Amino acid sequence: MKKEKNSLSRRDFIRSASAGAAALAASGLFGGVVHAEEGAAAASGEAIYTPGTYTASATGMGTVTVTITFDETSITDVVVDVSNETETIGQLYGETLQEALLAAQSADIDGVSGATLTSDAVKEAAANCIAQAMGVAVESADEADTDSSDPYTGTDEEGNTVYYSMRRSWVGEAPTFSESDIAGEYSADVIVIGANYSGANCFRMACEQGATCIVLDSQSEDSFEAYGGQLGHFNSQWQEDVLGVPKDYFDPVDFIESYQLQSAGRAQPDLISKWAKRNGELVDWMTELYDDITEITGEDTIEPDSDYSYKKGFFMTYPAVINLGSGSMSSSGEFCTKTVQAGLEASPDSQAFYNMTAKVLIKNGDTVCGVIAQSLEDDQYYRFMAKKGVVLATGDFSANSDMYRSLCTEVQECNPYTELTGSGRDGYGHRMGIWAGGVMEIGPRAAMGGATSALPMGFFGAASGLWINKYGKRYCNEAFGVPFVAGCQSARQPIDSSIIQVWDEGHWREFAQNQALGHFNASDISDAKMDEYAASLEEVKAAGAEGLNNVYCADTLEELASYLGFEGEYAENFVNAVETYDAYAEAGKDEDYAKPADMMFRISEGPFYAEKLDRNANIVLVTLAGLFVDGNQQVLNQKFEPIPGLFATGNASGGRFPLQYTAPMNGISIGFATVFGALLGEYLGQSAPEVSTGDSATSATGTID
Amino acid sequence: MDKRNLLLYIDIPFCPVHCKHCGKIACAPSSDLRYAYAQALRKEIAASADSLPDYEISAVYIGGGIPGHMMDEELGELLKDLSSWYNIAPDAEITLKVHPGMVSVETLNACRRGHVTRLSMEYVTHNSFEYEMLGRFLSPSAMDVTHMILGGSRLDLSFDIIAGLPGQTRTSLLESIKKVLSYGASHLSLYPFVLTPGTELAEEYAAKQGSAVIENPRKRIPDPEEVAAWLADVKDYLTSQDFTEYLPGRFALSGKECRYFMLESGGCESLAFGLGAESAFDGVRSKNTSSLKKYLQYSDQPEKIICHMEPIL
Repeated sequence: MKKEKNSLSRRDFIRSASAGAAALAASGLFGGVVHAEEGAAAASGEAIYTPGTYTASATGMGTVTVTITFDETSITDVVVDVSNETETIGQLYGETLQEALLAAQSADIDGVSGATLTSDAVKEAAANCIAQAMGVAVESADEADTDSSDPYTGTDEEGNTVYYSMRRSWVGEAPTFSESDIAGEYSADVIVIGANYSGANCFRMACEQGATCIVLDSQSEDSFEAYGGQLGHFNSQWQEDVLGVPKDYFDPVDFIESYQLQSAGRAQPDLISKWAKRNGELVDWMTELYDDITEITGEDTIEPDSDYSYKKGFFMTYPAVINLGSGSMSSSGEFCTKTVQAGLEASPDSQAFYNMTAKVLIKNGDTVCGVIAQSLEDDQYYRFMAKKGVVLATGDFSANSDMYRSLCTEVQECNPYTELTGSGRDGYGHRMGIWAGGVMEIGPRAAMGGATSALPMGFFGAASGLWINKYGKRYCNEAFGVPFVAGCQSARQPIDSSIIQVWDEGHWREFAQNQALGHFNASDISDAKMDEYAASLEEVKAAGAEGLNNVYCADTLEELASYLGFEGEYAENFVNAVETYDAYAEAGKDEDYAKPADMMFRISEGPFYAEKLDRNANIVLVTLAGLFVDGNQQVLNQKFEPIPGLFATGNASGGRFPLQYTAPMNGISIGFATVFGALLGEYLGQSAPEVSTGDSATSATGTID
Repeated sequence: MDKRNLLLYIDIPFCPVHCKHCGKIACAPSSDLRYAYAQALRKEIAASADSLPDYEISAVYIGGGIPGHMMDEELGELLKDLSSWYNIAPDAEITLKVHPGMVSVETLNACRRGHVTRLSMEYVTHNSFEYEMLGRFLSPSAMDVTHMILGGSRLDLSFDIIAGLPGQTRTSLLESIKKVLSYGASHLSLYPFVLTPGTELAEEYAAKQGSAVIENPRKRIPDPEEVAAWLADVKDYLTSQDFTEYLPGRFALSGKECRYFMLESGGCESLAFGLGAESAFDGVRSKNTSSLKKYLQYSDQPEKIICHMEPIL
């Protein structure tokens, strides 16, 4: 497409046009205001077209091609090429149509009877030329491309058709580089992309196992930040020293069983098994870098003499959650850079490159053997070659709304009126993995929040008490709430529904102190904390019908219903729901939804309390879905077979939260990231085979010449 | 010779959701459109840069809709390249407008690359009922997530608060102010609520005029005298917290005043880029086209996208 060259600078234009304005003002016209039509040239009248010659084709009997020449305001020449049309009919009318277009100055011309297909094709092609000249060419060309191909099918590396369930535009195209773009080359056994929780621990462990490693990160070392900051685990020395829970207290098999149930059997079984058996020991290895681990604080508080049961309803719950950045760790970012430093000390030939952003993986045949990255310091590109493997430790994709919407189907479907946005990273690592032949893990793909956070998060956290919807009805087995299989049923209530949590004066302490530990639930269940709650509840009582921070208290359930705004049938529903739940709690058997008896507490002794909370389903920290991996965290291809040399860990990898965000403890995501990073470093340092880097390496999409 | 001050305003008219009370041009675009807009903006900014050697840019404001998070990567690149086109003062103030719950790690990366110094948070209110009345995106509690993401960031934080919202009370307004101070605000802009004609909210209220719904305390629009009294209390409170009202409705801790607002109110010249952007430059006030299609196609041809001009009197 030809386009007129821009010849006038903004300043020149404003000066010349405003001189005109001044002249007009002097003559008393227009009150000193030049007001041109939208997008038209202010000084020189209506410009409809960008002058030039434009060509388009359409299908008649064969292909017809129309070429039209425009000046700023009119069509000056038309050439219609119908040489591919049926000789006796279509070809005869080329000239007629050509003249008609020129005369009409538009594509809206009468067709030629007996040559309808040809006429229509000429009109379509002419309309396309006019659209191009009017500046809508790019859009129509793009639309044509989209319309002509099915975005839900593609091909694998061997050319077989692949059927997708989702939009794929987010995959995009891998950048390509030529040899002359590369300013330098480095090589090592292992290249780790990303030096955050998973990458840093992978790097350090691989270094300590004797491998030479290179780690790349786009952040600078001196201002390195890591987000989140709670490391959940069990059976560490820290658990014993700080919480007073012996380091062999929990049976790993209980975790394996519970986590498989939470994820409905979808979690990568070997990953979960390895994590359960090794996490405590590897957290000890991480905290080795700090002098006094007893200075490191934790998240959950349980009285040592409490008879708290760690199994709640269907699932296990765990107390050991380290606050990264506490004690002698100055920040969670420093936790990462110090880990990298420890790796460098163990392996003097290894290197860390900060301010270095990975751009594309390098392949030799089917094998991933390196990465091209750009330095943010000199903008140059460098090549990093790996003998054993490249690790994507590149974080999540929640900051990429296209990916997020396409991939996290349950979250988007629970929040149909909002574009999904998260607070993490842009998924570039996932895309690099896919360009190199990897595939996303199988859905539904999880986010930390979204469908999960549709919970009554309030006075007692997201406690699994009695939950009521906008109709005044109980709607689910609350024992599946966070921290287990998410607020999935709350997210399926009407979008404008409040979620109401109900409790009573007689049983609230027992209720509050026997919730599962973990996300959104109260982390402090000490008696002292309960006394603080009691004082706050007195204030709620005094607030009466107005309530306090959306918590209401009334002597009767009927009165409470009216404070909550329930009327008529909904008010009756509310009273019935509480009375029915209380009867089930008393009997120890939930006739409706089979909620486990240990998770039901009576609501029978007034005054009664209720808290009205937002459904709150769309605030998300990070996404948790990643590339499909096997038990060694090796990325799988479209045939679900490992890609030699390519690994993913942390939020770039799949298999950890395959159903939704299921959390046996606070900090499970960072617990997984750090420990899985270390396990991958161990595998790459010890047993992973060397791969072939070949003589002539290729990028994920093309040869480097 | 001393260079003259010039302000740059970059308008990115994208919002994930159009709020009921907002009369601005904004749309929830596809990523293709965002990318096309970023390209067009880049062309306009680059094409406008010539023949400006006598100016120095001391403040840049990236506003419009909610630019932060809508096109992080493109924005980071654009801001990074700004200094190759313009004389940007070494200590230039660069402000990016953001939304609670929409500040990602990538937004912060873009801020680092683009030398952004301040974030202006479109917060409006801490009260979820007031927030919902406006049909806003997410909820005020999204700020908790953003607060965590901001972590050790050294960016100055400004918050926009609206006084006189439907359902607002003196207490809830003061709660909102206290809340933003707890998030580390060093600057605060207090805007009066205006029921802008033609907006969804104005139509909703027009339809219910005189009906009992307006008397619902959750929906009632406070009287201006009432709001004026609250504002006096707000000013007292902010003064007690070491904030000064350096321009009407703009409060800041010492040294955290917004340079862009100060220069703008002093009549400093400004070049504004983007859809519908309004410049005041070389004695002429000019306005860009509001047609997205035209803008995308012709952004580097001022004679085609400037649709209105008048002398600055």
